[in-house]
Amino acid sequence: MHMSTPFEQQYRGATRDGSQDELPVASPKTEDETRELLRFAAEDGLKVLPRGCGTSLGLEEPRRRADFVIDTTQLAGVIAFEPSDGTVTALAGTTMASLAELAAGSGRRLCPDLAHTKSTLGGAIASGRTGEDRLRYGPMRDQVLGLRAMLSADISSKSGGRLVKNVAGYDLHRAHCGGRGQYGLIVEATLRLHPALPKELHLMRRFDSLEAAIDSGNQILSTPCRPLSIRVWHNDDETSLQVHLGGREDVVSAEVLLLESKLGDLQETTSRPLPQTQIRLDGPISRTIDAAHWVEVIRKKAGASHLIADLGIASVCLATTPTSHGGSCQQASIAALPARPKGTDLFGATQPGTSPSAAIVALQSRVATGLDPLGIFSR
Amino acid sequence: MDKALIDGLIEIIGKDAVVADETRLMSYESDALAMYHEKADLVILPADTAETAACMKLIASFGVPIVPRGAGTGLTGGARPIEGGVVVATSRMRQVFEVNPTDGFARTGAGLVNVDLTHACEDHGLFYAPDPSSQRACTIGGNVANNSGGPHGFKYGSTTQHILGLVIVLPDGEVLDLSEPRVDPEGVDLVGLFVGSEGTFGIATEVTVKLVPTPEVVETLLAVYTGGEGLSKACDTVSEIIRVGLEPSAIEILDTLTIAAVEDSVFAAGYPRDASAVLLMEVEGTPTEVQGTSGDIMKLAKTFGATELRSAQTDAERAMLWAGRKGAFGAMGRIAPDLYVADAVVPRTKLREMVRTTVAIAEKYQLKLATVFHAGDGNLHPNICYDRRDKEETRRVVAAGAEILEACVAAGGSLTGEHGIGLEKLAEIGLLFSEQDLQAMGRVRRAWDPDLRMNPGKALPLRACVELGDKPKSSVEA
Repeated sequence: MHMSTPFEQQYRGATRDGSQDELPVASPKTEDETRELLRFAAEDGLKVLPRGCGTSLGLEEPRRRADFVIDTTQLAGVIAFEPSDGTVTALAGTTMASLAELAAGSGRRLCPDLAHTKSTLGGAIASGRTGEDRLRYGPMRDQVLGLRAMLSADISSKSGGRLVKNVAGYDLHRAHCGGRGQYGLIVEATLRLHPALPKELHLMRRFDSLEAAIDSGNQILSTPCRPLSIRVWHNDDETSLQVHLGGREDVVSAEVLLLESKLGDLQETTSRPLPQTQIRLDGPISRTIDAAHWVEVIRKKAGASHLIADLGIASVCLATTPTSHGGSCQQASIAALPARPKGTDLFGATQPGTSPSAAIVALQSRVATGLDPLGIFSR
Repeated sequence: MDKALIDGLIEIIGKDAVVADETRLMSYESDALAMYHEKADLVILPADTAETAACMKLIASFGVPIVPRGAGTGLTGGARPIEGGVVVATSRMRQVFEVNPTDGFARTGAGLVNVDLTHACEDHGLFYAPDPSSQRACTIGGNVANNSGGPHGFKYGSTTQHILGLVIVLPDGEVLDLSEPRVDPEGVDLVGLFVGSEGTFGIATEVTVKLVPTPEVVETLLAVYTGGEGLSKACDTVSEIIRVGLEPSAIEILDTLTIAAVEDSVFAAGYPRDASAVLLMEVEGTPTEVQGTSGDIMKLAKTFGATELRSAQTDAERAMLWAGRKGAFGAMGRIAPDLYVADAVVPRTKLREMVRTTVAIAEKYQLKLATVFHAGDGNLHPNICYDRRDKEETRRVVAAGAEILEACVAAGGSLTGEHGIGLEKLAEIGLLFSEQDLQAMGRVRRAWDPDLRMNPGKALPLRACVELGDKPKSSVEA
């Protein structure tokens, strides 16, 4: 079959066991070229791995059979931007950073606020990326108002729309959010925009122990403050709590006073970017368990250079050293857990005895087949 | 209905939980869209997941359609049968299994009434945010099925943003325990897909919900507009509030006919009778936040032509203002015996234009239109007051309703913001989705319900669910 989109690159994807996969990559410039690639895959029984800018695949994907990668970064562009209505619709390869900049220019805020400047809209949705601002604005899936995906060369599906409220039809976009490209190739999506924050402030306080930092962070959750994030940074040299506030200037000032009355003096600081090499684990900081104890166990057993815990959203990032591979770090983290903490997510699939029931797995498989009837996408 | 099935169900859940006599069955002929009604063959009221699963398994062996039902407050005909079948009502599942104030979630039975959930957790300084106008009657399970909204959805979002887990009974009686609250779904987001599936995937029997902290301060505001352009001015005020990025928790508009109905009813809220529209808003947060935002909103409302501005001074006054809004649909019974509640959504920049369009359509069909809506979300509720005994008027209501929906979709809107497609809007769903889109949805429906026995003829046209050559169990064609 003659392909108008050549396979020009080799994608070197790290897998969870630390090995490397090398896959040919095609970067279609148009939807027609994308369809051609999907037709090629269907005719030859090949499995497709959709990819945005590749900031998540290496660390988060388990090994799964794939024959080639469709890179969506060239399928980029804004389709509709309605700042007064609070929505933006763009093609999947559009970077989140460019959308954030567009929104900010009209007094709007795009969520999630992602650390990686190259993250694409489609990739951010497919990987269910968590932003630094999730505590206030919620997960990625709450931002997606509608989505169009290609399921094969001849089949596409749209759900939701370009409105902030809409319950017509099934929310198929919920399957694509965090679906890691297993059920289709996201072509375009509409995100909700929030009002811009007139004032933002990052405050920091150092602590002697992880327990004290987590306890203080949890105290903030019990106040009327609505921070964008409450983040604990922890390594062998330093433990600190960083609080990101935002809103009307008078509101932020009042929140600072309230926090200082609870936590003592707080230092104003700058936003601290997450390390480039990090993996995220969900769930371990539920306030009903002894979070400090076992996250420390994880950090040491996993060999992570340091740990960043987002309080209130039950999420922990383990920053890995160059020699400590993400996949093996994650496995070591999971293996370090004495028991599955209540309210956790990722661990359920890997801890013995806590796997989803056969009925759930069977239904997920049927739904996946319904979404990807030709079985084109790598699962 | 097969006597063996009835006997089997009685054996599982007891005689008192099986409704078979003609008089009692009449209560289940329709939901709150009384225009359409159809007798169920049988209604069962299982008490919990185990009873529901056993009943569903038995019903599956007879190949009978199932219609899930909460409190029957839905407005699209979604909770009524089309051609008989068994209605499975969840109204006995009112348990609150757990309130976890530390991690901010609760687990309840699907039949728990919405407002009772907030009552169950208010001592912990928490509440359940989605608040449909029918919250004193509607159930959490019904809210899940329809992805219900409510006035405070402007700030807090719809039901789907508040559901952390579910226990679901599939059509064949299999139980899926997805009740553990999860940060993010693992694999296909079954919970996310289920919310808003309108009873076509299975029956949720237990629900794990997110709870949110009760705000420190709440201020309820009323902006009054008079004169012929009052309703348009109220719409413009809302569009401007959104444009400048102010964030009240609720923004509702009531028009003059609604105000008159409310003020004549037991829900009288003290809205000025000479107003052509009122804008009811709520601001929540810290004292500083509420004071600042309320002040900005009041200034803006005045700039856009509000002739009177009020702030509720007491909890009683606040409750009264909201009782008027939430009782508005009931109060419309004073205008006419029946009510057709449209549920269209439009971009928030087009509120003025679309409200005018709906008024013009009602005038064209010589119908009484009372408008009350979630203006902040662009979610219009043009309510047509009519008498369904008058067949000719009913025909005009249906035609006007369809025309309103078509106009809203043409303006970039949607058919439904919170009530669902149900039975009522099946004919219009093609305005929003292509045949391919509907077929993708149909394949997902079949993944949950291969025999298409769950709430047949609702949410999605049957043709979208049927593969070539298949013969559906139900002969109902939408």
